[in-house]
Amino acid sequence: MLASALVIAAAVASLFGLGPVQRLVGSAWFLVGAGAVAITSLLAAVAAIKRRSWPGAIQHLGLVIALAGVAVNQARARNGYLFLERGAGASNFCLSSDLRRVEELPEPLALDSVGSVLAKAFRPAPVAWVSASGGPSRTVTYNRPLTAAGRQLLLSQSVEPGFLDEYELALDGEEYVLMHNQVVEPSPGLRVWSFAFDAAARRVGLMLGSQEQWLGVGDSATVRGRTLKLLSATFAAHSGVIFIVNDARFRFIIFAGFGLMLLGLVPSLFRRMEP
Amino acid sequence: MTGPFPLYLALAAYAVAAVVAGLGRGRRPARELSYLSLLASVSGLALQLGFITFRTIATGFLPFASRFESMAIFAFSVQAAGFIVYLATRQNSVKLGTDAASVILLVGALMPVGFHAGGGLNPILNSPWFAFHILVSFGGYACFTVGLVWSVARLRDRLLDSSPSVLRRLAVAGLLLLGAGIATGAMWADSSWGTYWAWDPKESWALLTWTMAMAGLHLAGARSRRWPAALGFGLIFATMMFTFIGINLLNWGLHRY
Repeated sequence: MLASALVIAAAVASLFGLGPVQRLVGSAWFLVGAGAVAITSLLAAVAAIKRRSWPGAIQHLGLVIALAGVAVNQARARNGYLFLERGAGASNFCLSSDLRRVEELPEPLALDSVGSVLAKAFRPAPVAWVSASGGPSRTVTYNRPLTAAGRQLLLSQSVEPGFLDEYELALDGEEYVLMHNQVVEPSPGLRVWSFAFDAAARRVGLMLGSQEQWLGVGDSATVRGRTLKLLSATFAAHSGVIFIVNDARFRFIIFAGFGLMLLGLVPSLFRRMEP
Repeated sequence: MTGPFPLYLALAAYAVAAVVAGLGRGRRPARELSYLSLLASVSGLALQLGFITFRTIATGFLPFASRFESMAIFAFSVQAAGFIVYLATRQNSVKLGTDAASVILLVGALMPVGFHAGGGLNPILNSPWFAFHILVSFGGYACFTVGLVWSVARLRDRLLDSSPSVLRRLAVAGLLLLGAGIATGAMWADSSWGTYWAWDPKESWALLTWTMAMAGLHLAGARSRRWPAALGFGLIFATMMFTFIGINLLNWGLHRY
C-alpha cells in the first residue's frame, strides 16, 4: 500500500513535468517512504522464510535488492558528459552530471571517425567509432553504447567544428562547467543556459532566466541582483561527438532485484485452487 | 495485405465470434456454437498475424509504432489471451466479453486518424528491445483486460465460480508480463536515453498499473469476492488505458516518436 501511495504521487507529479517529479522523488519524505517499503519488505521476506513460503521470500527479497540497487546507484554512480574531437587524440576527462566538476575516466578514449547510418524505415542516425586505451575501433550508435571499464558511453549528438564544447560560469563564488544547451538552475526559478555561440568572436549567447545576454570571456552580467561572469569558453577545432557517460557498475543490482521479484511470481501461475 | 483491409476482415471475424459466443452463453452442451466461435477467432488472429507479417516485410519494421498499429496489436493480444482462457475454461460469457473488447479496440485502431504507412522512424526505435518490450507489455495489458472481463462476467454468471483460480492467474500473468515490459523498457532506456528510469509519465503510469495490480493481489488473498475483484480490475484497466492512450493523446513525456 505504501509502495502504491509513493508511485501514485510520483505518477501524478510526472504529468507536471520532469522538474516537479524529480523534486518529489528527491524529497526527504519520499526517501523515508521508500526506506519504509524496503524495511517492511525485508520483514515480509523473513516471515515468508519462517513459513517456508519460498516464492514470497524471493519476491520480497527481490524488492529489497532492487531498492538497495537504486540507493547504491544514486550514491556511488559517477555519470557525466564527454566531448571527443575527431583526430584530437585520446581524452579521459568528462564533465560531471552535476555540472560542477571535471572527472577522470578509468581509461582514455579517442574518437577515430564519425559517420551516418541509414536503416530501412528509419531516419539517418549518427555513428561514431571510438577506441579505448589504443584498442580496436568500436562502433557506437543510438542503442549501441560502448562499455569500457564499467562506464557506458552513449552517443548523444555529433557536432561541427566551432561548436561550443565547454564553458565555465562563475555566479557569486559558485562555478559551473557546462556544454552548449545544458541547463543549470543556480537558484529556484533562475535557469541559465547557452542558446547560441559565435566561435569567430569567441562569444556565448546566454539565457539568464527570461533575459538574453551575449558575453565574451571575462565579461560579467547582473541577473536578479547576482553577478555572473563567463570565465572561459572552448570551441571545437574539429568535428566531434558528445557522449553521455554512465557509470554502469551497479546497474545489475536493480535489474537482478526486479528480476527476482518477477521470478517469485512464477509459482503462483501454476498453483491450483479447488472450486 | 499491408493496408488496413485484413483488419476489417479480422474485425468481422471477432464480431461473429462474439455473437456466436453470446448465443452459446448459459448453454452447457453448445459444442457446435463453441467450435464456430473458436473458428471465427482463429480466422481473425490469422488475419492479424498475416497483416503483421506482410507489413513488417514491406516496411522493414514491426508494425507496433503508430497509434493505429499499437491498437491493432492490443486487440490481437486481448483476442489471443481470451482464446487461451476460453480453451482452458470453456466459458462463453467470458469469450463474448473478450471478443467484444477486441472489436472495440480494432474499431479504435481503424478510426481514420494516425494511419501511417511506415518510414522515417526515430532511430532510437531501431533496437532489439523494441519487439520484446512491446509484445510483453501488451501481453500484460491483455491479461488485465481479460481479468476485467472475467470479473465483470462473474457478477452475473455463477458458472464462473467453478474456476476460482483463473482471476488470480490472470492477475499474476499480467504482473509478470507487464513487469517484464517495464524491466525491458528500463534496459532499453538505459542504452538509448542514458538512464534506466526517468520518471517519464508513460513509465511512471505503467509502474502505477503494476503496483496497483500487486496491491490488489496482496489484498485479495486466496479468493477474491465478486464486487471488489471487479472494482480492482476496473481500476487497473482504467490506469492501464490512461497509460496507453491518455498520455499519448495529451502528448506528455518522452514516449513520442
